[in-house]
Amino acid sequence: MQLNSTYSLYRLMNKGQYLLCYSGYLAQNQITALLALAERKMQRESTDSQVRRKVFNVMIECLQAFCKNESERSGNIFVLGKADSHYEILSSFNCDYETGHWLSGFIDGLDGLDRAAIREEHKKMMVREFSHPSMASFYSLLDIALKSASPLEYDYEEHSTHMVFSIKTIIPC
Amino acid sequence: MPRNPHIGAEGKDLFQLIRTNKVYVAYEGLFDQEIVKGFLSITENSLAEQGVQDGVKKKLFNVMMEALQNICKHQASAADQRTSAIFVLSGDEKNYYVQTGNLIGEEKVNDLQAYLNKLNALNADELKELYKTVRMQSTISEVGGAGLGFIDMIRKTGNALRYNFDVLPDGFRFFTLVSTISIES
Repeated sequence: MQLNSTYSLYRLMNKGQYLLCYSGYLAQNQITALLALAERKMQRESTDSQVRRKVFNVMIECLQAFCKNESERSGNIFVLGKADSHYEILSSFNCDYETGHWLSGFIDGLDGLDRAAIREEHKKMMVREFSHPSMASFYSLLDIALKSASPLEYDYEEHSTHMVFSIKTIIPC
Repeated sequence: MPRNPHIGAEGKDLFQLIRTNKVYVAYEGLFDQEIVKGFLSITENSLAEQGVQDGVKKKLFNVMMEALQNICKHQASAADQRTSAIFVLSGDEKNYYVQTGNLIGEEKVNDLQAYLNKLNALNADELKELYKTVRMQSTISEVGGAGLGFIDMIRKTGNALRYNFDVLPDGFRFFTLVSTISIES
């Protein structure tokens, strides 16, 4: 890492109000440690217990999805941010083209669905068979949409061999 | 293109920076003992999963501990309100890098730079002697402060400390300190 990159990272995290970034392999132990760190941070911020629970739930779903996405573990990034009015959870991961395009269509399809419709989707996905095993790991996005009560936002970059897919979840305070 | 490209420029830049620099963990904000414990726990689990050699693991832990303690102490003693700091652990095929960054007053830069240059120029025996001397001369409140921490980091890693002072507009500098832990000794 270049010396001046530390300051660049600081400025970016400070400006974007990002508290914590984690990249790489995620096992249950790391998930537990990351949750403990987030808990400490939210305690310091005197975050309302209901909001804290939502942030926790969304974090767990995101991190578990990473854990289950066995094929592309190396590119996982998880970011927790806190602005005045909301918490923000960003996740980014590598996936193949088929999964990435399916995912973007799937998230677009969630737009405008009410809670009951999302619950129905969830039931359908639980019993559905997927053409690619990693797709199944993303049914947790439905839980995230339900728990955050905000639309999921996403972006992706296409590379020659894979896609880098990023998802943003907002949890209002 | 995605129909819903709202991840935001800052988020994308952040992902880019993390990937380019192979950052494992980064934390920006206020530090306390619980946060320090959290970092050590995340790193311990991560190193165990990666099958890192015990010797490297021990060095990395010691350096992280010193670096995180230094930040905690700096924040506790900072008179101004701008006490936010950053801790970063990154790595490549050859090394791990423990980086810290915090704001310091411009008046402290020359002394700090001179001290770091002096430490970086010493050999192992001289560092050992200096460690003993500083420890003997320090008052209780100074023992374990940044002076000893810097010496310790160089002694434990066998590598010089790299540093930088980015100029900020209002009489502050952003002090970056990087300790390098070689994966293969």
